[in-house]
Amino acid sequence: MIKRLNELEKGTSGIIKNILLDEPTKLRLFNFGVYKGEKITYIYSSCFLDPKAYLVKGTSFALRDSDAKNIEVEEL
Amino acid sequence: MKKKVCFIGQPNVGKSTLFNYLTKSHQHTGNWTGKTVEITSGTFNYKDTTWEAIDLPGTYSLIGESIEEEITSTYVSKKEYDKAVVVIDATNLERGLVLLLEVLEVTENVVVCLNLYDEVKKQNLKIDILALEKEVGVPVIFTSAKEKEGISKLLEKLNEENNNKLKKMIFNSKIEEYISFISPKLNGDRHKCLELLTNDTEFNNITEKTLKNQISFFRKYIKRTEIKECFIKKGMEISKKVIIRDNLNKNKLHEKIDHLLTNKWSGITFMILLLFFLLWITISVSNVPSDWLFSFFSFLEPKIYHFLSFLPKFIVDPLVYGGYRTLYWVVSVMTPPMAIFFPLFSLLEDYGLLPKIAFNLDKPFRKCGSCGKQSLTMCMGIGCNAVGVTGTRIMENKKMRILSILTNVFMPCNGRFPTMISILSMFFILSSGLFSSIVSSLLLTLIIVFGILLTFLVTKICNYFLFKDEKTIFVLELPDYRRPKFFKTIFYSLKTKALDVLKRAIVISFPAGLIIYFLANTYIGTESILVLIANFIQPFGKLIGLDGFILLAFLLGLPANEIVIPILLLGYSSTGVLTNYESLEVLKNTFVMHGWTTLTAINFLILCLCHFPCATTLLTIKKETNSLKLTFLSFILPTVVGIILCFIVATLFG
Repeated sequence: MIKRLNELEKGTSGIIKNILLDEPTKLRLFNFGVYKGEKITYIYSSCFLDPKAYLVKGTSFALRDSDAKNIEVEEL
Repeated sequence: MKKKVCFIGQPNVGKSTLFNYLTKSHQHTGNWTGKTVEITSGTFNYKDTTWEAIDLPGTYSLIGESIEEEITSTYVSKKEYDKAVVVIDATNLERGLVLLLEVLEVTENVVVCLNLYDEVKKQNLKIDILALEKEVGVPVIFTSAKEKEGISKLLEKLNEENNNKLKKMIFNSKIEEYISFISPKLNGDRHKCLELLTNDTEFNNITEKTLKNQISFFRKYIKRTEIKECFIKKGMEISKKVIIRDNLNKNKLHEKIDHLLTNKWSGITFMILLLFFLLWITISVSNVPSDWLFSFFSFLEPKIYHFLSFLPKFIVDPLVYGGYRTLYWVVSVMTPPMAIFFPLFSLLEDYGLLPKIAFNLDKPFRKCGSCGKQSLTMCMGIGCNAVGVTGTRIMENKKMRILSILTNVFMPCNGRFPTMISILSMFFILSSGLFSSIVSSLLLTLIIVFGILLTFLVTKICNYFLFKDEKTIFVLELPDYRRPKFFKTIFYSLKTKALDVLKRAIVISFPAGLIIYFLANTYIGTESILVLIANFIQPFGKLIGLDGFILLAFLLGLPANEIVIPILLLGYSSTGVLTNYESLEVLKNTFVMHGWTTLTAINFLILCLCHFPCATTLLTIKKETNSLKLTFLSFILPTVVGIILCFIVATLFG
């Protein structure tokens, strides 16, 4: 099922299908391993639930929900 | 022989540690993404070669728009170096390979360091280093900057010419087609082709018309993300080939810490406790060395006076009782807390805790128009506001950076702690001993929490009035926890941050002492200038629940907040020189005699928290923002807030 990244349940993963963001932002996300076909896992959230921490290939990083909603993933 | 080498690497790969080890230029390395925006350089010798080394800012990639990416890619493209050392985190090979491939596209004079080898061994990871060498065509070595492994091999490889054949990167067919079209006109320089296709400034510099037209046509069909994707694919391919045993299991203990830190209640409790302990240790430990320093310097005072006694009295008196005394006052009060706070903070930084705090606090800060990283600049502000202001460099967004600079002063710095603590212990704490130090840290934590709330409020208001900035995405790397090198971290932090702040304070406090001496000892009629000014502003002081001397003490305390109470005492007792009080009780009596009540003490604390930053901080703000307007604003803003608050308190309860 295709979901937005911020809709993943804690502890679950998805395969990145589409990144609906502009070029410079995409390039920044690439640096953290966020590109089409990669597996991304929602590992934990912050105290106030947003931003959330994600894991791609051993790198963890934080994304705000407002940004994560522009990344489409297929839930695993 | 003289040669040049540059160090390239992503943030948090231990690049600066390696660099420091080689050059012995003790620049601090932290676990914070993109902290070193300035380029550091140093030299080291190996055999008959003197290497001039440059530590480029940590960058994820050469393709991108961040400041670090621009600095590094411009430097690499210029090729004004003999060797480039690319430092890769061996536990995250794939990511590092992407950067390496981008560098190899520009130059082949590269030595690769697979750093953090100690972590590799710990994690039971295995990398076929010979296969990797074959794949990339340049020498690859394992290093561990922490354990000093592989350093001599690195030096050896630097001196060797690279005879390996470099495999050229092959992009997708479309990009290759474009390159083959343009490259004959650029002497086959593939890197130049790519740059012209993707970099706007490079493209605009083309003078030849037909070439420019051709490229501008291609540019319509090519995206930087496409080129980047080719590098990423190649990186994946190589890492698949050379990693023999992978270990992606996360450290179980670290996972537990993560969950504890980011859970709603335990996370917030933890952060407040951490702040409290930081303050408590700083406060309780710094008292004793502070007294030592004080007695030492005051012991020297008559000796210096005697030594200078060949000069006339009207010169020696201001020099010794004005300049020298103010100088040692500031040094004795500020050095111990600074020498304790900054190393503690650096330990937390090196352990990798700070990004988690920024992560946790992002939401409330975002609501005010800023982001979580502001919390870290505030923490640095507790050490010293000037350091906090410089620390705002970690914020990429210009508007957020200005917001953090303007509000940093609402975090009471180490220079204001002692002042606040003496007022707290005089008017609010009745016991003494261990209990009293806990209570005063608790009260101080409360004051800081109040300061945090004020920061939110003022940030929000400023955000409303400041220019509108484009929204940028917030991505924050959350690096693994790493055990810091305890003594090394403490040493570096003392040597860089604390010493730096101390130097600036010394330069400012001596002349300030001379001015204060002059004001207190020049008489017009029967009163000194100091008293005349205090009397003049007395009505305004009374209006906000204080008095003229208190206001004047804050004004004269502009160079350094540490001397506010001594100046106040000087005004009240009209001795003409700064004098130490025998005990807090005596001090309290003097204050009460001049009409102090609990309310005065509260207003004094409010004004101490909310008034203009010290001169050093103002100079730093000028330097960082390069704007007189913003510097002025950061002077006036907290002052107005303080006056309003004092006025409200004075009218409501007075």
